[in-house]
Amino acid sequence: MPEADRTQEFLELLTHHDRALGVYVYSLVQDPHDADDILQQTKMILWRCFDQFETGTHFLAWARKTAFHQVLTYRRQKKREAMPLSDDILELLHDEVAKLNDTSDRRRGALRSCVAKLPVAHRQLVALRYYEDMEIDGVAERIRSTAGAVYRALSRVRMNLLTCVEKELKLEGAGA
Amino acid sequence: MKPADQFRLLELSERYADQKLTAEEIAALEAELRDSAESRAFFAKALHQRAELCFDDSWHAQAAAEEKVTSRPVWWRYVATAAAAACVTFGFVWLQTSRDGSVATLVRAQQCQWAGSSLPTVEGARLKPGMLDLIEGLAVLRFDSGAELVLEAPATVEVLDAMNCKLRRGTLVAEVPPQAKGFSIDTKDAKVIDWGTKFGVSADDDGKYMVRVIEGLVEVEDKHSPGSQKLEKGQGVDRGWTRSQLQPAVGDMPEPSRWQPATVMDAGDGWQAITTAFGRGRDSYIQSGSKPTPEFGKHPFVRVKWTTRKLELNRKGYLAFDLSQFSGRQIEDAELVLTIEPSELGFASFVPDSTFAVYGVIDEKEDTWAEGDLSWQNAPAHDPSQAAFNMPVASKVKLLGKFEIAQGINRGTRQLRGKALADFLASDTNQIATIILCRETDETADSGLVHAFATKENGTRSAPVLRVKLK
Repeated sequence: MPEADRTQEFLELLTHHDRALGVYVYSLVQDPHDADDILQQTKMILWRCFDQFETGTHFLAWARKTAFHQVLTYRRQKKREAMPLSDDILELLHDEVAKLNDTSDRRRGALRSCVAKLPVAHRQLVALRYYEDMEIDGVAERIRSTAGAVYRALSRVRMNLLTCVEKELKLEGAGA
Repeated sequence: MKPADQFRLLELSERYADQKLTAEEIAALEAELRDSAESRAFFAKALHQRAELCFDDSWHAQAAAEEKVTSRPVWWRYVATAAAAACVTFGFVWLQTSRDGSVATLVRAQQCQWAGSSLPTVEGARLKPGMLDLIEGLAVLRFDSGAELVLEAPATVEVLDAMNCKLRRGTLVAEVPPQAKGFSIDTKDAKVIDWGTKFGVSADDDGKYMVRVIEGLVEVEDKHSPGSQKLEKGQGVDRGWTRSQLQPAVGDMPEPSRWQPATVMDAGDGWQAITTAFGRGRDSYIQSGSKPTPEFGKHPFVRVKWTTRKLELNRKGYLAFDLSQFSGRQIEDAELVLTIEPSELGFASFVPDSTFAVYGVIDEKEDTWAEGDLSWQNAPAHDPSQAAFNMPVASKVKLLGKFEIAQGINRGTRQLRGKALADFLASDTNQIATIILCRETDETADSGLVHAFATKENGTRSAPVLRVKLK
């Protein structure tokens, strides 16, 4: 295959799976800066090793495996304190996250409509925490509450979202 | 799995993300995840959803848009991504999607002074959500959505995200390209939603606000009345803003006036100073139009403006100094000092660096004007039928000098000193000197800034001062 076509193919695949791959890495790596570094590194490696990828096989699975390897490398190199869970636990989580990640596109649509259904105050809480990346203490200050109360409130909202997403996915699966 | 366990794991996942788990908690969590497939699946689900919420902000853009107008998704992040993805030739540049939480860039900071802002204020700085407090100058913010705001000092703005900001007080002009439609500016009492356009907003802590559309379409929601109002090019709403600017509370200010220079000061070295508050001194201004404007004399400022766009909005300042204190003495040198009054009338964005001309009225018969009576029809050295609205009648005046005020500057003083001024004062015979203040710079769009200078009625800033050196 000519070089230009191969480049085109890579970019198309990566663009298509870019978000899912990002969500995967963010699932395992909690610090967004670390996660971005790992993502960046992973994409470079994917491109360098694209020769080894067989067209028609599962690109996202291949990309995730590469990323997981990077996560472990990163953890070993310097970030053990930021990633306290051991390698074998991370691997168990990788298996679980990968399953969810394969249905990432559907989950995303469901999550979006579930967020839209939240009461305004809950949506604001979600926005402060996940969109503005605020620390719990900051959120607590902003909504004049305590850190403990914010954790509890967030858990309630998150539970609501998890249940809602499952429901939406089921409805979708039933052809509704 | 019991709901209580699910809650517990959800909270653990949040604290884990914050790196707040103790060593014991980590050990217990590891054991649980290793032993229980159910816990593992749920914890993974919690982490995955958390990642979706953190990594992918589309839910927020949509939620924010739906809060404004139902069923109007804002996809700017995807527009940007798609555009970036189209640039295949740029190779890997697009892979570096920054995610540091910044939402805007401070692209220009022109002669800016900042108060305690929570955000960086150097040109080129990337801005996360936070507060910008501009004391002086013009600053341009470009949001990642494409919306561009020009802040006009004094202004306090809170950057919320790429599609939202809050104007706490002050004035700004917004230019919003099509991809940032839905960009919203919140004020205390109103929300202004942009539909791809250019418009100006002023607002204050107490809720008053003003919106003026220069191009396109804007939607204004007043928080005290249901529904919203759509404004098109040239239209505006004004909830108390202009009234508060035009009819300042003069006599009944709740706070006592600040220190004012004594009416005659001995500055030493032969210099003496008087203000327009001394003796028969006066300060007022005139505005083109047929209406008499006796209240202008009581305003705490004189307004000065030249515009060829709205002929009825031209203004010229008039000052009279009582020179009786210096009669019989020879004036060797002189200086006129004017204090700029922050004017919130009009947008500084539409008035470039401005030149002001100061004229002395030669014909002493014209010195008798009164503050309560001065008008466009009867003002000294003025011809209402003259085409050049920003000029006095040339034969009746002498040019004393010019000074400049840079765009966006609304504080400080301007001095005019020189032989022309000293000679003009020295040639006086009736102990009154009338001075006319004119702007020579036109606005580039209507609704441009009206410059203002403090008068003797001003409680906080110095009245016009005339300093003279006597032989």
